Amino acid sequence: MNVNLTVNGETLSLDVPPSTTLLDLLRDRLGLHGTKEYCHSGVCGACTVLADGKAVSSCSMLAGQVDGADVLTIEGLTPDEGLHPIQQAFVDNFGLQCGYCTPGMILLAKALLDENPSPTREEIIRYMGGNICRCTGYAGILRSVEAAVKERGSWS
Amino acid sequence: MRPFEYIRPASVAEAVGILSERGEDAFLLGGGSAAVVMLRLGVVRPELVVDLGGIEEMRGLRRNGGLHIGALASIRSLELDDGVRAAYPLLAEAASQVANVRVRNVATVGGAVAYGEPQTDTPTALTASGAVVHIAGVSGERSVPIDEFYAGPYETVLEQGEIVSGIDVPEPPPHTGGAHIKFTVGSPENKPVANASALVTVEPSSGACTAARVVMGAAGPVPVVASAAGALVGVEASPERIAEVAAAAAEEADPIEDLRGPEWYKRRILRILVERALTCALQRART
Repeated sequence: MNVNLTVNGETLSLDVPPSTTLLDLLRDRLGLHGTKEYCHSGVCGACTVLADGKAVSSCSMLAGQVDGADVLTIEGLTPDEGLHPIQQAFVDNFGLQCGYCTPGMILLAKALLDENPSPTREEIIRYMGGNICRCTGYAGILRSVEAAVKERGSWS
Repeated sequence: MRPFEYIRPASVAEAVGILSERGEDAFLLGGGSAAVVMLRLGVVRPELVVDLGGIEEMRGLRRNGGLHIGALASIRSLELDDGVRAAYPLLAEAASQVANVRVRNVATVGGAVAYGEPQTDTPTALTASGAVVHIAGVSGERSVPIDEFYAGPYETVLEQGEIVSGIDVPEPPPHTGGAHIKFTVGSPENKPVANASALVTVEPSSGACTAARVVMGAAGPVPVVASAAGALVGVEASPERIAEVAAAAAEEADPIEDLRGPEWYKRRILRILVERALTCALQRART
């Protein structure tokens, strides 16, 4: 089947089997390996991408469901030079250890800040707690997102 | 994933036409948060996936004296919609507790209802709210009160070829308060050990209850409506009376032992959830 979508600003028209998930399409078809694969059930959030600005689990969507959508992955968030301010905040605040959950965490943080530019600590915990990190105990992630919120004025 | 054909109909009529033609070969996809997982795990092995996501007439929320929820409305839209938060706060509160934000962004209210999973929050709150489920099929439409919609775990009264097209919820009368509470162990987004919704209306001058409804989730094969709540009607509900009702409600539940705990434990949790939900709902009704 034919799917038309925008990925990281590039308009694409792809012929894929209907059983292709958005995650398969990104990783296997487009070679965008920043989006991680883990639980395959919408629980862990390693495969988080933004579809039309909303955080979604790319493992739990079929390619047909994103026909016409605008998809942003970690590769698209990263500027040509340097890092996006949310990425930089994760580096500066030790918001990662093994790094496997990090692309998903950063995109989830972007979705949060796009929806709510000045979330409270409670709101950050509730929103970010939906993605699983098994290394950091979340303290570094929370610090990173709080730092990104503080810096928000300089990059929005 | 096992290969399948895929079709995205543009109308309810087209969707039910396809379903009546293809029968058991077809599998319905709403938002996909449950359906795509089932496809991947091979729990279902359809020849055809019918993606309902393109049906405009099944989208959105509409205030029409009550609330009409298009089957494709996302759980997140119930959580965030200003009108729902103001007039149907129980629904918004329950929606905000479902899984995680990624799931809530794509999971549909119609999907949550039709899936029939006994643990999820949305059917519990919709049952407490007196929702009516609208069903479309080739031979026309019918409507079923949600208390009569569930036949068992993951089983509903939907016949072959029928789909849930929308849900209507009556507007709660003035001086009504609602609360939804869940308890989970392990990860906060684990399915709940149990959940409970309470919806209570009071007579403002006397403070007496004129209506009280309690529904428990993960408490049996289908959302369990606690008849014990009737004991609150006509009385000014004291904390002692609420505790008695909660204890009786927990006895009406029929939970199963699973990885989230044994039966006695779930009953104990349910008693506390019902007590807290009722207390909170009453407070909200009185203010």
